[in-house]
Amino acid sequence: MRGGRTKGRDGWRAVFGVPLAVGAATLAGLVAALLHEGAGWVAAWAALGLPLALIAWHAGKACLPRNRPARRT
Amino acid sequence: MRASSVRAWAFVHTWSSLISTLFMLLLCLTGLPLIFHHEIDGWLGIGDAPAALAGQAPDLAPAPADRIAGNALRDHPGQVIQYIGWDQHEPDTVFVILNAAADAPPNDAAVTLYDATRGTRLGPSGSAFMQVMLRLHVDMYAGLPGKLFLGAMGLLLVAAIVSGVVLYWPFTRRLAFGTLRPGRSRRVAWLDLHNLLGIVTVAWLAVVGLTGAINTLSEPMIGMWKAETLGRMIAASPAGPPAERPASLDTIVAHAKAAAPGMVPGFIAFPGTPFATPRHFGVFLRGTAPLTARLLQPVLLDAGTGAVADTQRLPWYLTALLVSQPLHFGDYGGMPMKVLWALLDLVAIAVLGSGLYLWWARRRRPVPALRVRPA
Repeated sequence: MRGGRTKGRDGWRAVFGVPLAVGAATLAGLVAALLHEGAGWVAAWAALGLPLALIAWHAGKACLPRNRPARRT
Repeated sequence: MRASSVRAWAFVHTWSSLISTLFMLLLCLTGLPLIFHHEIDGWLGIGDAPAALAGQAPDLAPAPADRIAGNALRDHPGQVIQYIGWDQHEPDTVFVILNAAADAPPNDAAVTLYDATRGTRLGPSGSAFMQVMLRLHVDMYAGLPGKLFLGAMGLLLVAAIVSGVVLYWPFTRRLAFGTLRPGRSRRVAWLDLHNLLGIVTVAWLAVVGLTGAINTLSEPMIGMWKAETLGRMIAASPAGPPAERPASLDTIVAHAKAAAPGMVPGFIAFPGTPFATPRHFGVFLRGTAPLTARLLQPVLLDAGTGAVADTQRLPWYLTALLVSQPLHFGDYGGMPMKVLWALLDLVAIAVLGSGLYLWWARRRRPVPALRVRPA
């Protein structure tokens, strides 16, 4: 194990923060739809759409910037 | 994380995935049409109730269960009725399950739909295509051993998920979340994709995998419940031949509803079937709220007199089975949930496929992603 963490990038929160939030939202959404037919359904749609939206967002980010004219720094 | 423990987790991840991948691909591919089985069978023209199509059903009173049973027996000479049931999502139809004998195996049964108000035959409940998908998905045409085998594959999937989450740390700790590097080597690009797709869908896949594994145990669970409850019932009932003339189904349903206030009948199990005794009808009632509609209350009634013989709550393991089913099927949140379920299923296929590629590519050139970088 290497000592000396690089800032931000190396902490468990930077690695598992988003996955934990997505996982918790997924489980909450799945249970919500079981309990309520109206608002629970909408909550489940949003929660299950979240991982798909993240995939689309990061896939878009990885593929698109090269086509943009200017690079901001 | 030490290099040796990374290697150990990688070993678990590689082999639990490799052994189960082929079957998981089969389950993902056959599961995809099964999500939409209702819509697909609808397009194929299965189970359309003419009264419902014409929008005239609500005014008509439901047909008596006795009339539907009589029609079903007349339509299927030489067969006996095992079950008659009411699907909560299909108020216009009644399903009748017929078989060669009351205790004949469920895979030989034919499910036929009847018009709920006219009592006339509508046709088989599912298309042959959906039936093939279902059998491949549930037991690969191998009966209980096939089910239990797929359940074991589900447990391997859980091992692959846990080890995958552990390995996510050493593989991505130097990267921002969601890093994809399509410009790098093909292996790195697929590894990034495998990590992102896998980690954001891990909770969904774990739920679907675990609830699927629970479902593979349904037969032993029902057997256990039968041994506990029905065995006691049979022992308590007086000896003698089974009733010659069974009680009216409508009387039986009325008695069962009176024994379980506020509930509606889900299905009637005829005497001699796995959900009844040779001397009793089993009526399984359900609640009307979203969650209670999943839970069943069994009422056993004397086959000759229709008198209530016994009613008690289902044991916890059958309640767990019934609650786990919607979480596996994704059929409890309308069409948007089904579409999301299908998209997540496609992501799972991509995770399986990319994992297979990474294993294959790594065999040719070992582990660039894990090499120790100089500080």
